[in-house]
Order: sequence, then structure tokens, then C-alpha cells
Amino acid sequence: MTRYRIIIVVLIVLAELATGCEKSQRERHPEKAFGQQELQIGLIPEQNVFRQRERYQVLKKYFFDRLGITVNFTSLSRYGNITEHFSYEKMDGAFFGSFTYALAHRQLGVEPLVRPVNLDGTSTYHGYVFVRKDSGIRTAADMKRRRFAFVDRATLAGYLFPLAYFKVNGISNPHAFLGESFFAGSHDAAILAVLNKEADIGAAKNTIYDQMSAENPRIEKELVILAASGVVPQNCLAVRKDLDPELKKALQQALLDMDKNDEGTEALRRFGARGFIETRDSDYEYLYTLSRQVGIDLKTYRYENK
Amino acid sequence: MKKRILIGFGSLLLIFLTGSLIAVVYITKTTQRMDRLILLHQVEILREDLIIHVQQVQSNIFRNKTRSGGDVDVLVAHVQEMDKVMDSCVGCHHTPELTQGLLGMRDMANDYKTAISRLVTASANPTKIAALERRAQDLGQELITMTQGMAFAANVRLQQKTQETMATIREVRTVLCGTLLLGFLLALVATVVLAKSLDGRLRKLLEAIRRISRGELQHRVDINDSPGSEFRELGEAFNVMTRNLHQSQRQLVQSAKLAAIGELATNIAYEVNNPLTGVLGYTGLLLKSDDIPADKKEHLKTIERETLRAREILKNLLDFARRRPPLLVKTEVRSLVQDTLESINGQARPTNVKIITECTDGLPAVAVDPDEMKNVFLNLINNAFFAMPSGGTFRIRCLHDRDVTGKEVVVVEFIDAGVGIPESQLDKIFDPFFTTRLEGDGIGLGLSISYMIVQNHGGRIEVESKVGEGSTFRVYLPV
Repeated sequence: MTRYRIIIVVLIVLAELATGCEKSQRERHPEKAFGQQELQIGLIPEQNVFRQRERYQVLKKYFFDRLGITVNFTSLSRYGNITEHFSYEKMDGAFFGSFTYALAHRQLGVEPLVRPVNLDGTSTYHGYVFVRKDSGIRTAADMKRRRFAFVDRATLAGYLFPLAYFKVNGISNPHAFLGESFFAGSHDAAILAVLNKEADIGAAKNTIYDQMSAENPRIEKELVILAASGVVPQNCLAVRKDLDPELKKALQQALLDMDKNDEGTEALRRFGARGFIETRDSDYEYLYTLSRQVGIDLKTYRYENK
Repeated sequence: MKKRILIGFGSLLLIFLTGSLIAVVYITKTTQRMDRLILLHQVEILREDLIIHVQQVQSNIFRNKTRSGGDVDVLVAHVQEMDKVMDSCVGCHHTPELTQGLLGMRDMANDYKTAISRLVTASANPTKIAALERRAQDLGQELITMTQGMAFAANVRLQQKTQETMATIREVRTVLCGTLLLGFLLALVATVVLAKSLDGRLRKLLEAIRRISRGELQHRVDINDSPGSEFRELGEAFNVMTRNLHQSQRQLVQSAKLAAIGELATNIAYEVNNPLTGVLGYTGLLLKSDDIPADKKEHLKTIERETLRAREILKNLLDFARRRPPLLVKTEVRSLVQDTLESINGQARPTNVKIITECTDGLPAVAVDPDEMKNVFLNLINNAFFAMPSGGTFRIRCLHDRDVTGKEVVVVEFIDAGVGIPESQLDKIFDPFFTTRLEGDGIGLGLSISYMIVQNHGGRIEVESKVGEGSTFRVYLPV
């Protein structure tokens, strides 16, 4: 009889333990009734698209462990029109560049949540206008009938800032002023175009310029920076406006809390960032100012990268 | 024999162990070769996988005209697959040249990946994009060519390895078959030798048992194995058993003979004694008579003397037949022997017989009738003297021993160096009236009486003799 009692007690204890485990599991994955349990987040391909994919897999796991939701990261091609891709591919959000964010915000109403802080403590970037040292160009006026390598139509550093630079220097129609201009297609391509004498002037973001300069001493030796822009947020996560507000909040909080818990710290180490900071639309004020300066209406701006 | 059986089985074990060891070594060698071959095949599969993945990536680049996000995802996934295969190729152990080649391939794959990254991150400038696309595709094609080249080299190596492995398998087959056959033959030889050596000895024992059962109790088995061997011990034990059996049978026969003869002698003595008394009475009367001439009286005296001799014989016979129970007294055998020897001092004996007595103190005392036992010893000593007309050494030894049943006995041995007793007479020497002496020198009752006396003491007399060497009489007396 006593043996049966012992067995019953043991079973009860085990059942309690099992329930306890379940509870803690639930606490870990709060299955809140978010509007959806799966998210599509777009990534604009970076210089090393494969490393980028590995990094974001870390965030995918973190989101699942933290919120119990599945985040699918998928590429968001800049080729063509990025806002169209966003709508067409039914994205819930994306890690945008500053210009693409501004476009998506104005045209689709996406809302910024957070952006990563790089390991060196930066979370912003700026644009450069640079020339070959042997080109003899030192001012905007010297650029007359010279060759200019832009990046593409939807970049701050590679297009918007140089246009503003010309504007400030009294050149309202740069395409007519310059001898030749083309879109290099990427920041490194624009830098290389100038380095390889395919263009005399170029524009690119400082992060790529500095990185390439560290790798290739020719850049420092042969190029010179004529102008630098103001700063704008880099790589910000923005979500569609009609996303469940609670989910929006949860996503933002999960990323903001990353450096405050062990699993988040470990994930950050593997992701290659110090943490995430809150990002507001007002952080893009410099960009909005530039676009107004050069007369680009972001709400109606249509472009087609080719 | 145990040693032989152990050696036999040990050699069998050794043969099979050696065979198994050779088999294991060769099987291990073969499986290692097979493993290497399988590994090479797996590597080959990996290479093919790699080519397929690179081709998929190439096809993605080619198809990537629309450059939608989904296409980039597929491209990235395929490159990641390609990377995995590449990692497993580089991760394997190879010869330094091959490792060098694989590292070159890895560098090329990295260049390929960089070109692809450039392509997917390019957002404008169709000319540049086309150039980037061409660059990526060229690198991809180069990677395929390189992988195919390495695959070709690997195929040559694979063929070579396959041939080597096949040769090893053939060699292993020959060695294993040879080992098996040799092991079997050696085992057969060992078994036959072992069985034969066992069989020969068992046959000898079986033959001896058959002869004993036929009544040939004097037969002895002869096994000439080295001392300490089980079969030799068995043969010796068998011989001891047969000898004891023979002795017992002799004693039984002797006892029966003596009983029958005793009874007959008693009857005859009674019957003959009365007429002899008459003969003696009348002879006495005739001798006292005066009318018989003196020369006739001489005849009468001869009749009286011979009749008296006949009566003496009859008295001896009655004494033999009517054995009274011995008066047992605890006696030291040594003093018995000494007393007996002293009593013969006055007797005539061969002058050149040397008597050696080996009876020490410390022997257990025996319960005997001293007079009777002295008679027995005297008889045996006299017989020995008789057997040694030309002299020699006569030994008397006293021993403390155990008989076959394990009882304590004192053995008195009388060892002469006389003429010996022929084998044919050995069974008869204890028979009454059996004598080899001249008529008048004895009537042949001495040994019979001695035998009876010792038997009445619960002991026995045994004899061993060889013609020309001498005889040994052993008197066993229970302690």
C-alpha cells in the first residue's frame, strides 16, 4: 500500500515539474496574440551578401527565442524601384538605407524602430565627394565638363548629397554642367571608377570609402575628399504602418534590450554590433533638408535603377 | 601424457591463433584499403556535388536578369550550399599538393563570391552590371573547370587505388586460403600423432587386462614413457595391482592346499600310527627274545629304527596339522632376529657366508609368538644357507611399511645370493613335502609350516627369486 502511495506522490511531483517547465517555456516564448506569428523582413544586399545572411540568421534565432515569432529575412533588391519591391513582395519591414527609408516612409508610411550601433560606436554615416589628386579639381567650379561617378538614384551619399553640393555651389543643373556622369551601381564601384581613371569625381558613403582606403593605400595616395555631408542614420529597421502595434513595440523592445540579457549579448557578438538604439523619423531631418534643397519630392520621387 | 595432450592442444590452439591473427591482419589491411576507396568515392561525390552547386549558382546568375529579391535569396542559398561542400572538401586530409590545389580552389570560390556580392549589390549602370555578371560567370566557369580538372586527377587516382585494392583482395584471398589449408593440415597431423600415441598405450593396457582375465597373472605391462608420465604411472599401478592379485591368489591356493593336506595327513597319521605302535611293540619283544640270532637282531633293530623314523614323520605331520593358536607377545623384531642368529651360532654353516643385519631400533613392536616366529626365521635362514653352497652375502633387513590396504606392517626380508628358485617352482615351494633336497636331508615341511605360522599371525610370506641371482623372502607381520 505504502509503495502505491509513494508512486502516486512521485507521479504528482513529476506532473508538477512538467507543468512548471511548460510555464517557464511559455514565459520564454510569450505566445501573445500578435496579429501574426511570422514576419517578412527585407535586407538590402551589402558588400558581402553571404556574411550579411549569416549575421541576420542570428537575429532570426533571437526573435524566435525571445518573442516566439518567426522572422524570415529575404533580399530586397535595389535594382529597379525599392518601394515597389517592398509592396510587391509583401514585406512587413526592412533594414533600409537612409534614402530608401525616407522614400518608403514618405511613399508607404513605414515607421522606423531601431538601428544597430556598430562596434566602433557609430550608428550614422555621411557622404563624401572626392576627386583624383592629379585631376586638378579643387572646387565645384573645376568640375565643369569633367566625368562624375554617382552610385545610384536612391542614395544619399551617392546621389542626393552631390546634387546638394552642386546646388550649394551654385550649379543647379549638374548633368548639363558636367562633361559626363554615370551611375556606378555601388559605392565601391564609384570609388574604383575614380581610382581607375574612368571618372574624375565620385561620391560614396564614408563607411565604404574608409574601409576601402584601409585595404588599398592607393586611395589615400591618389584620391582626395573635397566635401563631406552631415550625418544620417545607417541601416534602420522600419516596419509597415499597419503592423500590429503590439508586435511593433515588442520587436523594438526586443532589439533595444539585446545588450541587457545574456542571450542578446551573445547574439550581438555574433551579429557584430554593440546594440540597437531607438530611431525616429526626425533623425532623418538632414536628408529631408537635402532633398528639399535639390528639389526632390520624396513622396512622388520615381526612379528606376537600371 | 598430460604434457603431450597439453602440448598437442597448445599447438592446435597456436595454429588456429596464428591463422586467426593472420586473417585479422589481412582483413584489417583490406578493410582499410576499402575504406580509403570508399572515402575516395565519397570525395568524388563531393566534387560532383560541388560542380552541381557551382552550375546552379551560374544558372542563378544567368537567370538573375530581373534581379528580384527572391532570386537573390535563391542565389545566396546555392552559394551557401556550394560553400558547405567546399568546406568539407578542404576539411578532409589530403596530400600537400592536393591541399594546395583545394586551397587554390577555395580562393577562387571566394573571388567568385566577391564577384557575386558585387553583382547583387550593384543597383545601377547596366554596362557595369553586365561586366560584373560576366566576371562572376567567368569565375564560376573557371571554378567548374578547376573542379573538373581535380576530379579527373582524382579519377585517375581512384582507378589506381581500385586496382591496388583488388590486388590486395586477391593476395588476402590466397593468404587466407593458404593459412586455412596449412592450419587444417597441421591440426590433422597433430591430431593423428596424439591419437596414435594414446592408442598404442591403451592397446598395451587392454592386452594386459585381457591376459590377466585369462589367468596369466604373471603378465606385466611395459610402458617406457619418461618418468612421471601418467601412462607410465598407470602401467606401474597396473603391475602392482597384478602382482598383489597374483600374491593373493597364491596365498589362497596355498591356504587351501595346506588345509586339505593337513586334514589328509591327520587322518593318515592316526591310521598309520596304530599299526606302527604294533610293529614297534612286537619288534621290541623280538629284540628281547633270546632265541633270535644276533645277526637277525640287527635286522630287527633296523626295523625298529625305521619305524621310529616313520613315527617321527607322523608326529611332525600331526604337529603341522594341529596348529595351536599362537601365544602373542609384543616383541621387537630386531631382538627376534638377533635371538635367532645367536641360536644358529653353534650350528654348522657355510664358512664363507657373510651375514649382514639391517634391523635398527625404532621399529614398532609386533604381536607374535616368539618361539614360533623364531622357528620361521630359523627355517628361512637355513634355507638360505642351503641355497648358498659357495657362500656370498646374506642380508636380513627389517622395514616399517604399509601393505596394499594401508595397514602398518613390519617387513623382515631374508635376501640370499644363492642359486635362486626356477619360476616353475615358485608356486610350489610352500607346498608340504615339496623339497629339492636329497632324501633324508628334509621332508619338505619347513616352508609349509613357516607359511602356516605367519598366516596364523595374520601376516604373510612372499618370495621373489631369480635363478642364479638369489631369492628374497619377505615376512609381513602386522603391527
